[in-house]
Amino acid sequence: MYTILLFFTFLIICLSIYCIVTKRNMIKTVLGVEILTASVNLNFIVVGARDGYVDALAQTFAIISIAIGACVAALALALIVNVYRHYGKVDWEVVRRLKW
Amino acid sequence: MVNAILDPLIVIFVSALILPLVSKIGEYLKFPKLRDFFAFIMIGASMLLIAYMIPSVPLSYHVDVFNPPFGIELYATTMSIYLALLSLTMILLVTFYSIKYMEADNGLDKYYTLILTLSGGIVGLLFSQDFFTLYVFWELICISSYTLVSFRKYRWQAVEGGIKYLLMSTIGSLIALYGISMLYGVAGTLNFSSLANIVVKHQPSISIYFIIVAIIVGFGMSSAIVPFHSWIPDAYVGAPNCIASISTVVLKISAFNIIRSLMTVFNPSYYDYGLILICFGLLSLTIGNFLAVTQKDIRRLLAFSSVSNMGYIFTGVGVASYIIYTYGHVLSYAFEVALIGVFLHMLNHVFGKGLLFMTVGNFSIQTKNYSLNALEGLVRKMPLSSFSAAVGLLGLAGVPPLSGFWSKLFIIASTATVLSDPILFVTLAFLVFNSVFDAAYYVWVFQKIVFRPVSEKGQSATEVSVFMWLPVVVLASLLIIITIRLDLFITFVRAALWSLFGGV
Repeated sequence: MYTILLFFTFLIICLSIYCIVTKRNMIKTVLGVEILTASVNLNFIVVGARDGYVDALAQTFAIISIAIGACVAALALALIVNVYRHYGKVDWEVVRRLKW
Repeated sequence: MVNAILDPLIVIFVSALILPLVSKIGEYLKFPKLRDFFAFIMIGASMLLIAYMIPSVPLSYHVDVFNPPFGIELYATTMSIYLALLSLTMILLVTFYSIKYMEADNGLDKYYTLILTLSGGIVGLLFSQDFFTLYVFWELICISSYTLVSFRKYRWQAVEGGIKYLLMSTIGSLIALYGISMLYGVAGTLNFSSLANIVVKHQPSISIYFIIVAIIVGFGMSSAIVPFHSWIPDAYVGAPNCIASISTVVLKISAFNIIRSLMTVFNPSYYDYGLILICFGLLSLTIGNFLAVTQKDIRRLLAFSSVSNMGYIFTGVGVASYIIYTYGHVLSYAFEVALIGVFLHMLNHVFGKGLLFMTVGNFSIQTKNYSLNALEGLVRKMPLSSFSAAVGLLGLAGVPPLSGFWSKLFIIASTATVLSDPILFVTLAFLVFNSVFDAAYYVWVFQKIVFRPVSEKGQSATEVSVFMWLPVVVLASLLIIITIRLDLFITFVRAALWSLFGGV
């Protein structure tokens, strides 16, 4: 059971990294980062609940990590609003003016 | 005065909380610069409190109910005090510099609050003794740093650099957190000293190496080693120049996360990760240097040279762990020399690169331009800034009497101990080639500033105000003092090294 759960969290991590790498829309990229945060937190809870007992440290870490993830997502969305004001689009294709 | 180790943190975080109030009082008293001086004094006060801790190391603090292997723990060692003083010196000078440089911006109460939370995060991270505290303070540093990089949000460069930095660094932190969670699954604790005892009992297996690679890649994304370096020039172009100076500190803290996680938890005598670090380091060195010479914007040149200097640090750590794994304690002096070189290079690079970004700020305010050609002949117009820039450039180039030479020499000398080893020989060849290469372009920028006739953009340049040249001159004289009293710093770093391996 433990291995299956670990495998599933790994699968979600791969899925979220696929989302971050392939999506052009910035909002979708932020969703990918959110999925990555959630899956890492899930992994923490999985490894903390082994051998029939639950470790409080893992759960605490997951809660703190959710709060941190919310901060980062809020900051990312705030920056995306500013990207929209400057470029008129929320697409990674347009955010490429800085070269050389 | 609660506890010696908590005092600097309390001073920084409480002043971050009351800074908006101080800012309002300053506006009421018609003295808006009150917040600037308040932030400056509070960072200075916490520096003094940290320096006051030196005679009584090691200090430890934990909440009474939860004892260390289960609860969180703060632990101050000589190494953490060394790096905390180094980072806070840089941040203190940047705060002084911002009094004049950021004068025209609005929202400065938020700016100084973010600088205070950033420095609080750095001090907290260096004093943390478990991965839980480390991760929380690391994210505090990261979030403050993203916001500061995109502080001038009315410029599109700032927004573009900020969003790229945020995405790369967040993904990196989460990959590192995944590695930490797997480590928790293996060992059942997050405390560094308990982890060190538990992990040594495990046979080196694929799962342990997975954790090591996750930590190197994760924190490596924020320390801009080569496959993940694409955010750094954009972020440095977007950020105000004083924030670019602070970013060099954040790079070193990120590298220190890797060094401490690996050296403390995974004993380098049992786990073979030296080669991974050497590969990343040599890639960053070479590619960073090759990209730096092609730049026309001075900030992008400095950003890519930061990549190559992180390469020196990673190569040094890699050589140290490779030597101790392959040759054992027979060559422990080479291990020590490499690590002393790494930590001295951190010192030189933070002061040198921070100095250069501040002088670039001075030059650009006068010439309204960031191209390399606009720097020509500025020594005749702005002597103080230009001479400091010259010290920084020659120091980073590794011109012999200056301290940058000695730290590079230590890293190179440690690879030269076993010339029959092919890996160390190739590393030596790359290091010598790159140290000549980067000396070439630093000296090229140096001759542009000092020997060329004044360009037409620099005709109207004059020396900037005292708030902007004083921190630069202080940094240049610090670099010269380090050169003169290098023996003192080597002794201190050498004593501090043992704290990585469970000593004081």
